[in-house]
Amino acid sequence: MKTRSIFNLLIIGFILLSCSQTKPDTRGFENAALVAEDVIAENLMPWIERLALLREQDTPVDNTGFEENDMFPSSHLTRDSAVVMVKNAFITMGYEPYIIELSRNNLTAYNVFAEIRGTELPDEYILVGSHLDAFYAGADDNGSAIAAMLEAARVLKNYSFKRSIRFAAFDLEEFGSVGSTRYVEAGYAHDIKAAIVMDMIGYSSEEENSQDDVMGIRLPDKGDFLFIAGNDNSRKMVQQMTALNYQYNLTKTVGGIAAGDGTSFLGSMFMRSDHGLLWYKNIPAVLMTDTANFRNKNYHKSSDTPESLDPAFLYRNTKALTAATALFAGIQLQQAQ
Amino acid sequence: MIRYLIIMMLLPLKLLSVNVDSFYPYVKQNFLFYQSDRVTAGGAGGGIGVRMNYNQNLFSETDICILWGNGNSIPVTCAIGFQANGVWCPAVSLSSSVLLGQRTELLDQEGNLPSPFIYTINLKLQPFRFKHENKNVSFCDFALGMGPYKGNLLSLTMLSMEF
Repeated sequence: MKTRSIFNLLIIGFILLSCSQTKPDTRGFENAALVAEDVIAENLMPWIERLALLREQDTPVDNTGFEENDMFPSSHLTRDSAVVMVKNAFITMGYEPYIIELSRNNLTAYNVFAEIRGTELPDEYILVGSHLDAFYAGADDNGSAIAAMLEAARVLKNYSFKRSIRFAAFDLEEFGSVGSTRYVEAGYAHDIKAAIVMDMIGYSSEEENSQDDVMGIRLPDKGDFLFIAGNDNSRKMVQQMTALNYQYNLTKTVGGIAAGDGTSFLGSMFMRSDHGLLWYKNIPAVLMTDTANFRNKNYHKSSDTPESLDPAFLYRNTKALTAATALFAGIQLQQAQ
Repeated sequence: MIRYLIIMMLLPLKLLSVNVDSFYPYVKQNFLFYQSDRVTAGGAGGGIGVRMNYNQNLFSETDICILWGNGNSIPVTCAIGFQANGVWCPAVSLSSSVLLGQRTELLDQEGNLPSPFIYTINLKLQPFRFKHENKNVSFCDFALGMGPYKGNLLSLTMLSMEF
Protein backbone atom coordinates (compact mmCIF):
# COMPACT_ATOMS: atom_id res chain seq x y z
CA MET A 1 0.00 0.00 0.00
CA LYS A 2 2.76 2.39 1.03
CA THR A 3 4.77 1.53 -2.08
CA ARG A 4 1.79 2.24 -4.29
CA SER A 5 1.28 5.65 -2.64
CA ILE A 6 4.89 6.60 -3.25
CA PHE A 7 4.59 5.37 -6.84
CA ASN A 8 1.47 7.50 -7.36
CA LEU A 9 3.08 10.54 -5.79
CA LEU A 10 6.04 10.16 -8.11
CA ILE A 11 3.75 10.05 -11.13
CA ILE A 12 1.76 13.10 -9.99
CA GLY A 13 5.02 14.97 -9.34
CA PHE A 14 6.38 14.20 -12.78
CA ILE A 15 3.16 15.25 -14.46
CA LEU A 16 3.04 18.53 -12.56
CA LEU A 17 6.65 19.26 -13.42
CA SER A 18 6.01 18.43 -17.05
CA CYS A 19 3.11 20.81 -17.28
CA SER A 20 4.61 23.71 -15.35
CA GLN A 21 5.58 26.82 -17.26
CA THR A 22 7.25 29.89 -15.87
CA LYS A 23 5.32 32.95 -16.91
CA PRO A 24 6.84 36.40 -17.33
CA ASP A 25 6.26 39.29 -14.98
CA THR A 26 4.01 41.72 -16.85
CA ARG A 27 4.01 44.66 -14.43
CA GLY A 28 4.70 48.01 -16.05
CA PHE A 29 3.95 46.82 -19.57
CA GLU A 30 1.21 49.33 -20.28
CA ASN A 31 3.31 52.40 -19.56
CA ALA A 32 6.29 50.99 -21.44
CA ALA A 33 4.17 50.31 -24.50
CA LEU A 34 2.76 53.83 -24.36
CA VAL A 35 6.24 55.30 -24.63
CA ALA A 36 6.93 53.19 -27.72
CA GLU A 37 4.08 54.92 -29.50
CA ASP A 38 6.28 58.03 -29.72
CA VAL A 39 8.72 56.32 -32.10
CA ILE A 40 8.54 57.90 -35.55
CA ALA A 41 9.14 55.53 -38.44
CA GLU A 42 10.34 58.26 -40.79
CA ASN A 43 13.22 59.11 -38.47
CA LEU A 44 15.00 55.80 -38.88
CA MET A 45 16.11 55.28 -42.47
CA PRO A 46 17.67 58.75 -42.85
CA TRP A 47 20.20 57.85 -40.12
CA ILE A 48 21.16 54.69 -41.96
CA GLU A 49 21.40 56.46 -45.31
CA ARG A 50 23.52 59.23 -43.82
CA LEU A 51 25.84 56.72 -42.16
CA ALA A 52 26.21 54.80 -45.42
CA LEU A 53 27.18 58.00 -47.26
CA LEU A 54 29.65 59.00 -44.58
CA ARG A 55 31.30 55.59 -44.63
CA GLU A 56 31.90 55.88 -48.35
CA GLN A 57 34.16 58.87 -47.72
CA ASP A 58 35.65 57.62 -44.46
CA THR A 59 39.19 56.29 -44.10
CA PRO A 60 39.20 52.60 -43.17
CA VAL A 61 40.67 51.53 -39.85
CA ASP A 62 44.20 50.16 -39.99
CA ASN A 63 43.64 46.40 -40.20
CA THR A 64 47.19 45.31 -39.45
CA GLY A 65 46.98 41.99 -37.64
CA PHE A 66 43.43 41.27 -38.81
CA GLU A 67 43.69 38.92 -41.74
CA GLU A 68 41.09 39.51 -44.42
CA ASN A 69 38.70 36.86 -45.68
CA ASP A 70 35.24 36.62 -47.27
CA MET A 71 33.37 36.82 -43.99
CA PHE A 72 35.78 39.34 -42.53
CA PRO A 73 36.68 42.12 -44.98
CA SER A 74 38.89 43.81 -42.44
CA SER A 75 40.29 46.42 -44.83
CA HIS A 76 36.79 47.90 -45.28
CA LEU A 77 36.03 48.80 -41.67
CA THR A 78 35.20 52.42 -40.94
CA ARG A 79 34.20 54.20 -37.77
CA ASP A 80 35.54 57.78 -37.55
CA SER A 81 32.65 59.51 -39.28
CA ALA A 82 30.16 57.40 -37.32
CA VAL A 83 31.73 58.52 -34.03
CA VAL A 84 31.23 62.15 -35.01
CA MET A 85 27.73 61.60 -36.34
CA VAL A 86 26.49 59.75 -33.27
CA LYS A 87 28.01 62.31 -30.91
CA ASN A 88 26.45 65.20 -32.83
CA ALA A 89 23.10 63.44 -32.95
CA PHE A 90 23.07 63.17 -29.17
CA ILE A 91 23.99 66.86 -28.85
CA THR A 92 21.14 67.83 -31.16
CA MET A 93 18.72 65.92 -28.93
CA GLY A 94 19.89 67.82 -25.88
CA TYR A 95 22.20 65.21 -24.39
CA GLU A 96 25.71 65.82 -23.15
CA PRO A 97 27.54 62.98 -24.86
CA TYR A 98 31.08 61.93 -24.00
CA ILE A 99 33.66 59.74 -25.62
CA ILE A 100 35.80 57.23 -23.76
CA GLU A 101 39.02 56.42 -25.62
CA LEU A 102 40.53 53.06 -24.79
CA SER A 103 43.91 52.32 -26.33
CA ARG A 104 46.00 49.18 -26.44
CA ASN A 105 48.42 47.73 -28.98
CA ASN A 106 48.21 50.78 -31.26
CA LEU A 107 44.47 50.29 -31.62
CA THR A 108 42.22 52.91 -30.05
CA ALA A 109 38.51 52.40 -29.52
CA TYR A 110 36.28 55.46 -29.37
CA ASN A 111 33.11 54.60 -27.49
CA VAL A 112 30.38 57.28 -27.50
CA PHE A 113 27.96 57.62 -24.57
CA ALA A 114 24.95 59.67 -23.56
CA GLU A 115 22.87 59.37 -20.44
CA ILE A 116 19.49 60.06 -18.87
CA ARG A 117 19.75 60.43 -15.12
CA GLY A 118 17.34 58.33 -13.05
CA THR A 119 15.24 59.90 -10.32
CA GLU A 120 15.16 57.22 -7.63
CA LEU A 121 18.06 54.91 -8.42
CA PRO A 122 20.42 57.15 -10.38
CA ASP A 123 23.43 54.92 -9.79
CA GLU A 124 21.77 51.94 -11.43
CA TYR A 125 22.09 52.02 -15.21
CA ILE A 126 20.24 50.34 -18.01
CA LEU A 127 22.69 50.17 -20.90
CA VAL A 128 21.41 50.40 -24.46
CA GLY A 129 24.25 49.50 -26.76
CA SER A 130 25.09 49.04 -30.41
CA HIS A 131 28.33 49.17 -32.34
CA LEU A 132 29.13 52.05 -34.64
CA ASP A 133 31.91 50.53 -36.73
CA ALA A 134 30.91 48.75 -39.92
CA PHE A 135 32.16 47.04 -43.05
CA TYR A 136 31.24 48.82 -46.28
CA ALA A 137 27.95 50.77 -45.96
CA GLY A 138 26.94 48.68 -42.96
CA ALA A 139 23.21 49.36 -43.31
CA ASP A 140 22.00 46.38 -41.34
CA ASP A 141 25.32 45.79 -39.61
CA ASN A 142 25.04 48.05 -37.74
CA GLY A 143 23.39 51.21 -39.05
CA SER A 144 20.00 49.70 -38.23
CA ALA A 145 20.88 49.40 -34.54
CA ILE A 146 22.46 52.84 -34.38
CA ALA A 147 19.33 54.35 -35.92
CA ALA A 148 17.11 52.49 -33.45
CA MET A 149 19.25 53.61 -30.53
CA LEU A 150 19.18 57.26 -31.64
CA GLU A 151 15.42 57.21 -32.12
CA ALA A 152 14.92 55.54 -28.74
CA ALA A 153 17.19 58.17 -27.19
CA ARG A 154 15.09 60.92 -28.76
CA VAL A 155 11.86 59.45 -27.44
CA LEU A 156 13.09 58.51 -23.96
CA LYS A 157 14.56 61.97 -23.39
CA ASN A 158 10.99 63.20 -22.93
CA TYR A 159 10.31 60.95 -19.96
CA SER A 160 11.70 60.32 -16.52
CA PHE A 161 12.78 57.00 -15.08
CA LYS A 162 13.66 55.48 -11.73
CA ARG A 163 16.96 54.17 -13.04
CA SER A 164 19.47 55.89 -15.26
CA ILE A 165 19.82 54.99 -18.92
CA ARG A 166 23.16 54.92 -20.71
CA PHE A 167 23.23 54.84 -24.48
CA ALA A 168 26.46 53.37 -25.76
CA ALA A 169 27.83 53.30 -29.28
CA PHE A 170 30.72 50.87 -29.05
CA ASP A 171 33.65 50.96 -31.39
CA LEU A 172 35.51 48.11 -33.12
CA GLU A 173 32.99 45.39 -32.46
CA GLU A 174 33.90 43.85 -35.79
CA PHE A 175 37.48 43.38 -34.63
CA GLY A 176 36.29 41.24 -31.72
CA SER A 177 34.11 43.46 -29.53
CA VAL A 178 37.18 45.53 -28.76
CA GLY A 179 35.39 48.69 -27.61
CA SER A 180 32.90 47.01 -25.31
CA THR A 181 35.41 44.52 -23.92
CA ARG A 182 37.85 47.25 -22.97
CA TYR A 183 34.99 49.28 -21.53
CA VAL A 184 33.97 46.42 -19.24
CA GLU A 185 37.52 45.44 -18.37
CA ALA A 186 38.34 49.03 -17.43
CA GLY A 187 35.61 48.88 -14.79
CA TYR A 188 33.08 51.20 -16.39
CA ALA A 189 30.34 48.59 -16.32
CA HIS A 190 30.15 48.25 -12.53
CA ASP A 191 26.93 50.29 -12.38
CA ILE A 192 25.09 48.44 -15.15
CA LYS A 193 22.10 46.54 -13.84
CA ALA A 194 20.86 45.36 -17.22
CA ALA A 195 21.84 45.79 -20.83
CA ILE A 196 20.11 45.64 -24.17
CA VAL A 197 22.58 45.28 -27.01
CA MET A 198 21.56 45.40 -30.64
CA ASP A 199 23.40 44.02 -33.61
CA MET A 200 21.60 43.97 -36.98
CA ILE A 201 17.89 44.54 -36.49
CA GLY A 202 16.73 45.75 -39.91
CA TYR A 203 16.57 42.77 -42.24
CA SER A 204 13.59 40.48 -42.60
CA SER A 205 12.15 38.15 -45.16
CA GLU A 206 8.67 36.72 -45.65
CA GLU A 207 9.98 33.88 -47.78
CA GLU A 208 9.87 30.30 -46.59
CA ASN A 209 13.27 28.89 -45.58
CA SER A 210 14.74 32.38 -45.37
CA GLN A 211 15.85 31.69 -41.82
CA ASP A 212 18.66 29.27 -41.04
CA ASP A 213 19.00 27.41 -37.76
CA VAL A 214 21.71 28.67 -35.44
CA MET A 215 24.24 25.99 -34.52
CA GLY A 216 21.60 23.26 -34.39
CA ILE A 217 19.13 25.43 -32.53
CA ARG A 218 15.91 25.20 -34.47
CA LEU A 219 14.36 28.52 -35.47
CA PRO A 220 11.19 29.26 -37.46
CA ASP A 221 11.65 28.86 -41.23
CA LYS A 222 10.54 32.37 -42.07
CA GLY A 223 12.99 35.15 -41.19
CA ASP A 224 10.41 37.72 -40.20
CA PHE A 225 11.05 37.93 -36.47
CA LEU A 226 13.33 39.70 -34.06
CA PHE A 227 15.49 37.31 -32.10
CA ILE A 228 16.15 38.22 -28.48
CA ALA A 229 18.96 36.20 -26.99
CA GLY A 230 19.69 35.91 -23.30
CA ASN A 231 21.25 33.57 -20.80
CA ASP A 232 20.36 32.37 -17.31
CA ASN A 233 21.11 35.81 -15.88
CA SER A 234 18.91 37.61 -18.37
CA ARG A 235 16.16 34.99 -18.63
CA LYS A 236 13.62 37.29 -16.98
CA MET A 237 14.50 40.12 -19.36
CA VAL A 238 13.97 37.95 -22.44
CA GLN A 239 10.68 36.69 -21.08
CA GLN A 240 9.45 40.19 -20.36
CA MET A 241 10.54 41.58 -23.71
CA THR A 242 8.92 38.71 -25.58
CA ALA A 243 5.68 39.05 -23.65
CA LEU A 244 5.67 42.84 -24.00
CA ASN A 245 6.16 42.65 -27.75
CA TYR A 246 3.40 40.09 -28.05
CA GLN A 247 0.83 41.70 -25.78
CA TYR A 248 1.19 45.13 -27.35
CA ASN A 249 1.85 43.93 -30.87
CA LEU A 250 5.17 45.78 -31.03
CA THR A 251 7.15 43.30 -33.09
CA LYS A 252 7.22 39.60 -33.84
CA THR A 253 9.69 38.06 -31.46
CA VAL A 254 11.43 34.79 -30.78
CA GLY A 255 13.08 34.75 -27.38
CA GLY A 256 16.00 32.40 -26.82
CA ILE A 257 17.82 31.48 -23.62
CA ALA A 258 21.30 30.07 -24.07
CA ALA A 259 22.28 27.20 -21.81
CA GLY A 260 23.74 28.32 -18.50
CA ASP A 261 25.71 31.53 -18.75
CA GLY A 262 25.70 31.22 -22.55
CA THR A 263 29.43 30.78 -22.85
CA SER A 264 29.43 27.12 -23.86
CA PHE A 265 30.19 25.88 -27.37
CA LEU A 266 26.62 25.95 -28.70
CA GLY A 267 25.92 29.24 -26.96
CA SER A 268 28.80 30.93 -28.71
CA MET A 269 26.57 32.02 -31.59
CA PHE A 270 24.39 33.86 -29.08
CA MET A 271 27.41 35.81 -27.84
CA ARG A 272 28.60 37.40 -31.04
CA SER A 273 28.30 41.03 -30.08
CA ASP A 274 29.02 43.62 -27.43
CA HIS A 275 27.05 41.87 -24.70
CA GLY A 276 29.56 39.00 -24.71
CA LEU A 277 31.78 40.23 -21.92
CA LEU A 278 28.75 41.28 -19.88
CA TRP A 279 27.70 37.64 -19.92
CA TYR A 280 31.14 36.62 -18.71
CA LYS A 281 30.81 39.19 -15.91
CA ASN A 282 27.36 37.88 -14.94
CA ILE A 283 25.65 41.16 -15.82
CA PRO A 284 22.14 40.58 -17.17
CA ALA A 285 22.23 41.40 -20.87
CA VAL A 286 20.22 40.55 -23.95
CA LEU A 287 20.98 40.76 -27.64
CA MET A 288 18.41 41.97 -30.15
CA THR A 289 19.22 40.76 -33.64
CA ASP A 290 17.82 39.59 -36.96
CA THR A 291 20.31 36.69 -36.54
CA ALA A 292 22.89 38.24 -38.89
CA ASN A 293 24.32 35.80 -41.44
CA PHE A 294 21.78 33.14 -40.48
CA ARG A 295 19.26 35.27 -42.36
CA ASN A 296 20.88 38.23 -44.08
CA LYS A 297 22.93 37.11 -47.07
CA ASN A 298 24.43 40.61 -47.33
CA TYR A 299 26.29 40.06 -44.06
CA HIS A 300 29.72 41.74 -44.23
CA LYS A 301 29.30 42.40 -47.93
CA SER A 302 29.17 45.55 -50.03
CA SER A 303 25.52 44.69 -50.66
CA ASP A 304 24.60 45.54 -47.07
CA THR A 305 22.96 48.76 -48.23
CA PRO A 306 19.96 50.76 -47.00
CA GLU A 307 17.89 49.45 -49.92
CA SER A 308 18.25 45.90 -48.63
CA LEU A 309 16.51 46.68 -45.33
CA ASP A 310 12.89 46.42 -44.30
CA PRO A 311 11.98 49.85 -42.83
CA ALA A 312 8.72 48.57 -41.31
CA PHE A 313 10.58 45.78 -39.52
CA LEU A 314 13.15 48.24 -38.23
CA TYR A 315 10.37 50.54 -37.02
CA ARG A 316 8.71 47.73 -35.10
CA ASN A 317 11.99 46.69 -33.55
CA THR A 318 12.75 50.26 -32.53
CA LYS A 319 9.42 50.37 -30.75
CA ALA A 320 10.33 47.12 -29.02
CA LEU A 321 13.68 48.57 -27.94
CA THR A 322 12.10 51.76 -26.66
CA ALA A 323 9.43 49.93 -24.69
CA ALA A 324 11.90 47.47 -23.18
CA THR A 325 14.26 50.24 -22.13
CA ALA A 326 11.39 52.16 -20.56
CA LEU A 327 10.28 49.02 -18.75
CA PHE A 328 13.66 48.10 -17.30
CA ALA A 329 14.50 51.69 -16.39
CA GLY A 330 11.20 52.05 -14.56
CA ILE A 331 9.18 54.52 -16.57
CA GLN A 332 7.47 57.13 -14.44
CA LEU A 333 4.07 58.29 -15.48
CA GLN A 334 4.60 62.01 -15.64
CA GLN A 335 6.56 63.33 -18.61
CA ALA A 336 9.71 65.29 -18.03
CA GLN A 337 10.07 68.78 -19.42
CA MET B 1 2.12 10.71 -23.93
CA ILE B 2 3.72 11.84 -20.70
CA ARG B 3 1.99 9.09 -18.72
CA TYR B 4 3.39 6.44 -21.05
CA LEU B 5 6.87 7.87 -20.74
CA ILE B 6 6.65 7.91 -16.96
CA ILE B 7 5.47 4.34 -16.89
CA MET B 8 8.35 3.43 -19.20
CA MET B 9 10.75 5.17 -16.90
CA LEU B 10 9.50 3.48 -13.81
CA LEU B 11 9.17 0.06 -15.36
CA PRO B 12 12.70 -1.02 -14.48
CA LEU B 13 11.93 -0.23 -10.84
CA LYS B 14 8.86 -2.41 -11.04
CA LEU B 15 10.89 -5.14 -12.62
CA LEU B 16 13.20 -5.04 -9.63
CA SER B 17 10.59 -6.97 -7.75
CA VAL B 18 11.15 -9.82 -10.23
CA ASN B 19 14.03 -12.19 -9.60
CA VAL B 20 17.24 -10.62 -10.77
CA ASP B 21 19.92 -13.04 -11.96
CA SER B 22 22.72 -10.54 -12.12
CA PHE B 23 23.39 -6.93 -11.41
CA TYR B 24 26.25 -5.13 -13.19
CA PRO B 25 27.42 -1.54 -12.94
CA TYR B 26 28.89 0.03 -16.07
CA VAL B 27 30.55 3.17 -17.33
CA LYS B 28 29.91 4.69 -20.71
CA GLN B 29 31.00 7.44 -22.99
CA ASN B 30 28.07 9.26 -24.53
CA PHE B 31 27.23 11.80 -27.17
CA LEU B 32 23.62 12.90 -27.07
CA PHE B 33 21.80 15.63 -28.94
CA TYR B 34 18.18 16.59 -28.48
CA GLN B 35 16.77 19.06 -30.95
CA SER B 36 13.23 20.38 -30.88
CA ASP B 37 11.25 23.52 -31.67
CA ARG B 38 11.70 24.78 -28.12
CA VAL B 39 14.57 22.96 -26.46
CA THR B 40 18.06 22.01 -27.61
CA ALA B 41 20.14 19.97 -25.21
CA GLY B 42 22.99 17.53 -25.05
CA GLY B 43 26.67 17.32 -25.66
CA ALA B 44 29.47 14.87 -25.15
CA GLY B 45 30.59 13.28 -21.92
CA GLY B 46 30.16 10.13 -19.91
CA GLY B 47 28.20 8.45 -17.22
CA ILE B 48 27.57 5.48 -14.99
CA GLY B 49 24.75 3.01 -14.84
CA VAL B 50 23.61 -0.37 -13.75
CA ARG B 51 22.28 -3.32 -15.73
CA MET B 52 20.03 -5.99 -14.32
CA ASN B 53 19.45 -9.35 -15.97
CA TYR B 54 16.07 -10.94 -15.38
CA ASN B 55 16.80 -14.06 -17.35
CA GLN B 56 19.14 -14.99 -20.17
CA ASN B 57 17.56 -12.55 -22.58
CA LEU B 58 15.67 -9.88 -20.71
CA PHE B 59 17.49 -7.02 -19.04
CA SER B 60 16.96 -3.49 -17.87
CA GLU B 61 19.43 -0.72 -17.33
CA THR B 62 19.47 2.71 -15.82
CA ASP B 63 22.19 5.29 -16.24
CA ILE B 64 22.99 8.93 -15.64
CA CYS B 65 25.42 10.97 -17.71
CA ILE B 66 26.88 14.42 -17.65
CA LEU B 67 27.45 16.02 -21.02
CA TRP B 68 29.18 19.22 -22.03
CA GLY B 69 28.92 21.33 -25.16
CA ASN B 70 25.70 23.19 -24.45
CA GLY B 71 26.02 23.90 -20.78
CA ASN B 72 25.86 20.89 -18.49
CA SER B 73 23.24 18.44 -19.62
CA ILE B 74 22.28 15.51 -17.42
CA PRO B 75 20.26 12.79 -19.15
CA VAL B 76 18.86 9.99 -17.00
CA THR B 77 17.90 6.95 -19.03
CA CYS B 78 16.00 3.82 -18.14
CA ALA B 79 15.68 0.95 -20.56
CA ILE B 80 14.35 -2.55 -20.93
CA GLY B 81 15.80 -4.70 -23.62
CA PHE B 82 16.38 -8.02 -25.22
CA GLN B 83 19.85 -9.50 -25.65
CA ALA B 84 21.22 -12.46 -27.54
CA ASN B 85 23.22 -15.18 -25.83
CA GLY B 86 26.83 -15.97 -26.49
CA VAL B 87 30.08 -14.06 -26.75
CA TRP B 88 28.60 -11.80 -29.36
CA CYS B 89 25.41 -10.64 -27.68
CA PRO B 90 23.82 -7.76 -29.59
CA ALA B 91 20.91 -6.10 -27.89
CA VAL B 92 17.96 -3.94 -28.64
CA SER B 93 16.20 -1.89 -26.02
CA LEU B 94 13.40 0.55 -25.54
CA SER B 95 14.35 3.39 -23.32
CA SER B 96 13.12 6.62 -21.89
CA SER B 97 15.34 9.56 -21.05
CA VAL B 98 14.73 12.54 -18.87
CA LEU B 99 16.92 15.45 -19.90
CA LEU B 100 17.89 17.44 -16.86
CA GLY B 101 20.37 20.26 -16.48
CA GLN B 102 21.07 23.18 -18.76
CA ARG B 103 19.73 23.56 -22.26
CA THR B 104 18.97 26.18 -24.88
CA GLU B 105 15.35 27.26 -24.70
CA LEU B 106 13.09 29.13 -27.06
CA LEU B 107 10.15 30.92 -25.51
CA ASP B 108 6.67 30.89 -26.92
CA GLN B 109 5.16 34.12 -28.21
CA GLU B 110 3.81 35.01 -24.79
CA GLY B 111 7.21 34.67 -23.18
CA ASN B 112 6.59 31.36 -21.46
CA LEU B 113 9.48 28.99 -20.97
CA PRO B 114 9.25 25.41 -22.19
CA SER B 115 8.60 22.62 -19.75
CA PRO B 116 11.51 22.24 -17.31
CA PHE B 117 11.81 18.49 -17.92
CA ILE B 118 12.07 16.85 -21.30
CA TYR B 119 11.13 13.18 -21.62
CA THR B 120 11.98 11.16 -24.65
CA ILE B 121 11.23 7.64 -25.76
CA ASN B 122 14.04 5.94 -27.63
CA LEU B 123 15.00 2.83 -29.49
CA LYS B 124 18.55 1.74 -28.80
CA LEU B 125 20.63 -0.72 -30.77
CA GLN B 126 23.84 -2.29 -29.51
CA PRO B 127 25.11 -4.28 -32.49
CA PHE B 128 28.71 -4.62 -31.29
CA ARG B 129 28.14 -5.98 -27.83
CA PHE B 130 30.31 -8.76 -26.48
CA LYS B 131 30.42 -10.84 -23.34
CA HIS B 132 33.65 -11.68 -21.59
CA GLU B 133 33.73 -13.44 -18.23
CA ASN B 134 30.07 -12.57 -17.75
CA LYS B 135 30.73 -8.84 -18.25
CA ASN B 136 29.60 -6.95 -21.31
CA VAL B 137 31.49 -4.48 -23.40
CA SER B 138 29.77 -2.63 -26.20
CA PHE B 139 30.96 -0.40 -29.03
CA CYS B 140 29.08 2.08 -31.19
CA ASP B 141 25.67 1.89 -29.57
CA PHE B 142 23.20 4.24 -31.05
CA ALA B 143 19.73 5.36 -30.14
CA LEU B 144 17.08 7.38 -31.86
CA GLY B 145 14.25 8.95 -29.96
CA MET B 146 11.45 11.40 -29.95
CA GLY B 147 10.14 13.86 -27.43
CA PRO B 148 8.05 16.96 -26.88
CA TYR B 149 8.02 20.05 -29.14
CA LYS B 150 8.58 17.85 -32.20
CA GLY B 151 11.87 16.76 -30.74
CA ASN B 152 14.36 14.25 -32.04
CA LEU B 153 17.02 12.59 -29.99
CA LEU B 154 20.23 11.10 -31.26
CA SER B 155 22.54 9.27 -28.93
CA LEU B 156 25.84 7.63 -29.75
CA THR B 157 27.92 5.67 -27.29
CA MET B 158 31.35 4.75 -28.56
CA LEU B 159 32.12 2.50 -25.60
CA SER B 160 30.27 1.15 -22.60
CA MET B 161 31.87 -1.33 -20.29
CA GLU B 162 30.71 -3.25 -17.27
CA PHE B 163 32.98 -3.59 -14.30
